Amino acid sequence: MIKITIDGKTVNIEDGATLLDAARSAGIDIPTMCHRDKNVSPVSCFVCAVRVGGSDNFVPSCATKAIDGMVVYTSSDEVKECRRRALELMLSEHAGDCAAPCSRICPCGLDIPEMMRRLLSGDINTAAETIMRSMPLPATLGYICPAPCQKGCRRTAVDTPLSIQLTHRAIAKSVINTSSHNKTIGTAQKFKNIAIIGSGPAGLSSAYFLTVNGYSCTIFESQPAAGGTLRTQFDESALPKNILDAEIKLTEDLGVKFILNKKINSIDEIYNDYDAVVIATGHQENNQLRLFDLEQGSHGVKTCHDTLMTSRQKVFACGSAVRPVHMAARSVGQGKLTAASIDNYLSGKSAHKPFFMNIGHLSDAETESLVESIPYTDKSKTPLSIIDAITDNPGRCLQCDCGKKNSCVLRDYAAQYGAHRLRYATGHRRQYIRQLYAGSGLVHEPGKCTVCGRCVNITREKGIIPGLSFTGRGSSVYISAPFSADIDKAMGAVLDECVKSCPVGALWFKQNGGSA
Amino acid sequence: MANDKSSIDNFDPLWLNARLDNIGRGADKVIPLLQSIQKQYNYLPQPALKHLCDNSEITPADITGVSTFYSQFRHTPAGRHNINVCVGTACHVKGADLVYEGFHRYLGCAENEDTDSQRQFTINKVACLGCCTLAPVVQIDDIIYGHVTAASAPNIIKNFLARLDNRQSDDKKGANDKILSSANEIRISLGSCCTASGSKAVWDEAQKVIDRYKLPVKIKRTGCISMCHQTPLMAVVVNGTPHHYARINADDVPGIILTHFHPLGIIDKAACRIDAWMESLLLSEDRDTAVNRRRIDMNDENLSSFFGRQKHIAMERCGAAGPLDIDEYMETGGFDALKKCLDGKTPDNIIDIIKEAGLRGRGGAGFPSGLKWQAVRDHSAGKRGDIYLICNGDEGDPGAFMDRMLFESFPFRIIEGMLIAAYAVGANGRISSSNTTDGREQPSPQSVNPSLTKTIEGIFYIRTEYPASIKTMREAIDICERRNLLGDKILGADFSVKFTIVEGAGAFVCGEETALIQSIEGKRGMPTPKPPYPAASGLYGRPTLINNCETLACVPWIIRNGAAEFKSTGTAKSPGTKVFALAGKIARGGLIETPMGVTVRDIVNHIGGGIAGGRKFKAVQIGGPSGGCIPAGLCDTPVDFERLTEAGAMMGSGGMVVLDERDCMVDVAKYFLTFTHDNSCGRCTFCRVGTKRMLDILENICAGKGTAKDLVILEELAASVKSASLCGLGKTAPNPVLTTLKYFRDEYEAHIHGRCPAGKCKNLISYQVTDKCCGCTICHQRCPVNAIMFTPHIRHNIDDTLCTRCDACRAACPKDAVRIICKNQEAAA
Repeated sequence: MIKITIDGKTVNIEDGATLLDAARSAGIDIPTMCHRDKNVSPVSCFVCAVRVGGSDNFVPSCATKAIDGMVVYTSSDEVKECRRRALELMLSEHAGDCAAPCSRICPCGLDIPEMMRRLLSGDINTAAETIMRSMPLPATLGYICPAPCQKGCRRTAVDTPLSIQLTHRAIAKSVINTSSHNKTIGTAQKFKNIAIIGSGPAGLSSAYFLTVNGYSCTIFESQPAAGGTLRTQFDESALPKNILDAEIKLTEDLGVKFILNKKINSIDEIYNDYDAVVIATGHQENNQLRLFDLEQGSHGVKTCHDTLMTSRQKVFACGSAVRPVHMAARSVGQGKLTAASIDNYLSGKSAHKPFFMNIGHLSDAETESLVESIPYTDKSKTPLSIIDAITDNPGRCLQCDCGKKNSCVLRDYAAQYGAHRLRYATGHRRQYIRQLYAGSGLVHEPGKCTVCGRCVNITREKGIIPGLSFTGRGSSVYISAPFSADIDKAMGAVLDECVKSCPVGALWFKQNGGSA
Repeated sequence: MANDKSSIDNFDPLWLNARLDNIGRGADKVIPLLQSIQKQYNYLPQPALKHLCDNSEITPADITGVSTFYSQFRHTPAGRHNINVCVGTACHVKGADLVYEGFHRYLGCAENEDTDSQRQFTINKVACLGCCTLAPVVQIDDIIYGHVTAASAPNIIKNFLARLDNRQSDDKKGANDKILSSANEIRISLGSCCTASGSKAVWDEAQKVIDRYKLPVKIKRTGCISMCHQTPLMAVVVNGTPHHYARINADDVPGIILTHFHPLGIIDKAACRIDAWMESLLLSEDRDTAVNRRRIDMNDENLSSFFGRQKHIAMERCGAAGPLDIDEYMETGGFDALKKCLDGKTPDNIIDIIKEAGLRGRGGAGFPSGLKWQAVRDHSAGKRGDIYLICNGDEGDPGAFMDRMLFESFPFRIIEGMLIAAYAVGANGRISSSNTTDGREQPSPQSVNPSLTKTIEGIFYIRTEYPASIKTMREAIDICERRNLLGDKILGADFSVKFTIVEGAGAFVCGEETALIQSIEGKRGMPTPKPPYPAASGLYGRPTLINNCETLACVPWIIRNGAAEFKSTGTAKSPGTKVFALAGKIARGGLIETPMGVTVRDIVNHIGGGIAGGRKFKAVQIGGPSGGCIPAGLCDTPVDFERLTEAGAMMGSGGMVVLDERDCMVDVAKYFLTFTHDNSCGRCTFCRVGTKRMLDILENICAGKGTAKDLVILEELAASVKSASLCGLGKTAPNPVLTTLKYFRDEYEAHIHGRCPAGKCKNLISYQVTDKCCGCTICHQRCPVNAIMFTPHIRHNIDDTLCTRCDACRAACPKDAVRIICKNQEAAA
């Protein structure tokens, strides 16, 4: 046994252990990407960098043996900075989006490719759940949303964009009378009360997401019916009232309490009875908001950029009350963010802002690789009623989201360390290539590979012939199958293990889509 | 080299089977096997690689990994002849890129192709051919051409093809001739760079003269003569006194030889007189004048300045020693040190002497050699099993050629040093000889248990770009084996060692010791974390001593002369001498060995004779890609390990490239980053991606697209790559950038404002004809892209949109009427 000091804590560890082993045994978390537990580390990513003693240098903790008396720093600002830069360098050559451009444009962040996949698998309910994880009032928005998402659709470069809005509407309408909503509630009740002033899209949205998260919400509405501008701005042909009513009813069924015909003139009226207050009154011409005695910005109530809190403690604001919003979906999106901010505030946790890689415009060759790999997905399971309603084929979706967007280690750490994707965008980015191996369903996206060597080492350890190999050297090193073999066949019996082990979206299975 | 096209195109499995039988089928044999295939076919045909997998222990993944890692290997068919354009540092600053473009254009290769349509020639850029003083250098197959320009490409190709036609079997001549030292001899060096500047033609002519007049003298091949700026150089030794003739060509040879030696027979005498009379009719200058013009006096101020500040330890007897003349080596003290060790010293004695001498590794980092030897001995003492010694001759630094010269010139000295090291770290401490009667202390016969006898294997790892070094070392090992200086029971002592040679396959990173070990094991040369150090677990997991060849070459001298004598030279912390390859914009380039601690100024001004062409000394680049640029203002920096590191540079292996006012420092930094980013093994994020991003920024700056923010990011990245890379390559790769940023920041800023002060960066300059132009049309004739119209007697004009900035017009203009101007005139003002 030897004794070392990690972040001021004395740790006893077997001789021969690495600094990573030692830190983990002491409950100190060190991020890793290339290292596989219980294996010799390939020492590639440098995300596990730590500093030893007074050295100016950083060492990879996964491959540095602990020596008696060592003093190790794992969480100093310099160490975090070093890790962040390593991540930013990896991101600088990461050719691939996390989310599809359509989803990124959607103010509510709807996972559109996932919605399409669910639809194509014939499961309308889970398709609807996908929508409702992102927004309340799905059918309502399906009617009135101007569908900016469709402008980002990568299919546009090939033929025409997917009919995302119609698809969304058709799915939402088809489940409007079922109880799908309730399935989205997964959290235990938090026994905290939130007051929301105003029942327009922003107010309804924050109430919805807070309720889903276990909070008890009360909406105060000065008008006799809930809905705010949703009720006043659209005529029957644009948005049938029965759709709006049904969806507000669903929100009520979820547990949101509506107090109608109740005008709040001063926050003090409710301030002490609630754990948080949301101002979602919409735009007020007559300076109504001044009555709330909150600091004003140039367009409305001033809120903190990060916390969305107003000048008064536990009072938040969103939607047109802050600055005029001309798209209901955007107000809904803001309501969602406000709900998340309130959750952070009340639970005392600080969630990292999610990270999104965004490679922008694709070259013709890049688009072609996308189209050639997944041109159409079989639509035979999709209910005919939907197909008829949308007069489009959801199987045309190129599924340009990342197959590992929810399990990508790089993305996770990028969020955690606040990495900036463009920090080192100094030259041309790598080419984005997607190749589908139809037999196994393997999707290979070499532009995302961090060349960590996990897959190479797995094939070598298991004696797979031909196996995978590093190819070339320097900054152009990549991983390939020898003699131009198919990469899935080259991995042979360890294909599943390699795909699972890949820390990024360079290897994934088509059948898992973005759910992995 | 395969010259027959059919053998290039048709893979013969039987041939490969024979090679497999010869080389072996183990996984560690992958590199020699691939080298063999590459030699046969000039590339690696895929059927051959598949055959290799099917008939050996090598896996397809290994083949792919290894064959794509080393730059020696290519996967696409190549031309019958290889043109290697050296892009080492010295060649770079003298316009190697323009030379490459010149050949590319002359051969008419398509834009992204490196082979002409006839598949006659393939042109490659190679890291460094180690002929820096003749820069720019081009090698076609095994012939090296020096001082090449873009305009000389056609002549060189023609010359090569002509030589190919008259190539006789004269290759055997010369190099192997064994001549004992005698009072009368003609010494000509046939080192790689001397040969490139024409010493082979001088040799041939001298031989012809001697044969014709039956002169009583023989020619002796010597190794490097150190004064590259004086080559081809011939020394005529009469009664032991050498007379030197510099920069001669074959025509000068008869006159020089006949000045000193006269034919003996009456017929020969007559023939000689008649020839001389005939010649005098044809030439304007008489023979004596020509001879005297070539003659140099070693006491001449220039030469005494060149040699006066040098001290030769590793290069002892430089210019006089026949590289493969073992008798001469032994007559002049060679192997005395080994005998001294075998006869009366224990391994511990030897290690103590090396420690006492303070010898530090000459490969660059300067680790104390004695401690390294001790560590290997400690890790293997009293234990069973093999020990490996590796002589690191993977001299990858562009701009360095010390190792090449040492191998080519002093092979026995390196072998002797290696044998002493082998004895010191691996011998069991038992001394076989009974010759202890002269009062020396009887070494204690410790650990004589025969079951603990180890096998000691020594490996010379020499880069493949140095074929002459490999050949010389191979012959030297053969000679030593025949003399029982190698093999079993060396010189009768209970000490047996086997030496082999491993050829590197073209990877700078393999100079890093852990990568070098990976390479010998037949893997990609990717460094591994230290510890474990090679001393504990090196080649095949065994204790391994790795020393640079210059370090080993110092060892015999230290044993012969004692530690105190060694320490009396150099500085307290860096004793002894260091060999430097002095090249670049210097008047007297060459291979020099100076005591540690001399100043940069001494080297540049006194040894090197200052800047060539009277231009201004700007900086000296020391240590290659790991080193940095020391500005003229800091030229009083003493050259030793610590002081160079303090200045931001590094000793490196000893390349010294002198830069003048026409060299752009941003371009120099970009040059090194291009090299390191390509030579990174690709393992760690910071080195693999970080160097690439730094290069992006430097390319942007050189193209005039840089911003002030780029400098911030560049510095940030440089610091990160330096502090968070695994091996020495990554840790030192930012040095050229950091030192130029530190000392020449104004040049970076000028580029950001659209101006290249040195007039080097193509995007920021243009060529202009001034009023001095006489309309002679020479520039029109030289312009390879027709950017200059044919306008006789009228001032010429250069079309900037067509101009490739190849510099051919400026070099050719007799009136000096072509000038480089800054594109962005406002910025220039």
